Amino acid sequence: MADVLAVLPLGKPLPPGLHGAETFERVALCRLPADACALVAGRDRETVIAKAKALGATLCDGPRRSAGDNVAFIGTGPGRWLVLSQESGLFTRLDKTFAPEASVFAQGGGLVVLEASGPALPAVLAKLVPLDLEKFALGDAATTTAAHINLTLWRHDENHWRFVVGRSFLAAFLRAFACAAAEYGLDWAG
Amino acid sequence: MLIPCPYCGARDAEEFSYRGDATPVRPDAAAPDAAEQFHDYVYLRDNPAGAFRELWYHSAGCRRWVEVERDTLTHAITATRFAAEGRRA
Repeated sequence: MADVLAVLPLGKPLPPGLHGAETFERVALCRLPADACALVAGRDRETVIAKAKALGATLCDGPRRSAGDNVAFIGTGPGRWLVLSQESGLFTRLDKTFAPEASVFAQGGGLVVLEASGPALPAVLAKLVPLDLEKFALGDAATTTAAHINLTLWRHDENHWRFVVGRSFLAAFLRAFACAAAEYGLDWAG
Repeated sequence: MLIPCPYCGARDAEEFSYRGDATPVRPDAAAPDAAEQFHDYVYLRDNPAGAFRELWYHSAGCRRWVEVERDTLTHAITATRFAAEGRRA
């Protein structure tokens, strides 16, 4: 794998395939199709949280994932959430639900959602992010930095972690992830 | 050094940007000695050995300004709050 990264231009994403060691502990990484918006509450945060019930979500004002009807809210700051959905028309849906107590900003064009799984994933993440992963419960989220790249990540379920990174940082993030996962192997679906 | 962010929890100091002393208060611009007061407010800073109240910006996390009470000799942090709350207090 070292040879692949040595000849790969820095701006080019990692080619799909197996990278690094070939072990049974290898980590799988794939890209998920999702639309994204930022939801920013105004002063009346309680009303925003109450209105989220219309989307089937019990909104948590903390670094947690709150799931609704084909929509997920990831807490990124006080009164701020990153909202993801696999359906189109997310912006309109959110604006109709939360205006005027909250503002909605379309982020789908600038963000990429990735999903990772595999037995060695905790060991790989320990090399990437400055977080105490032992304390991470299911649904816990964090906005942090990995190899100087800002990202939001959360523990989606028992075996899967998801990441949101800026589209223009994808190549750099994949390079950092491939290096962290090299000793276990990385199966990158592209 | 771990800084307990009120929103994110304990996070490494590398996620934060140090923004200096949290104690200066903007002087009254209408005061007769306003120019002198503003000079002190803008330029003069203490450098205490011991308890200190300072601002950290959580630039790689929740992007909020956090007021931290820290001992500059031991790095022991006794309290943190959002900077806006500290101003209101």
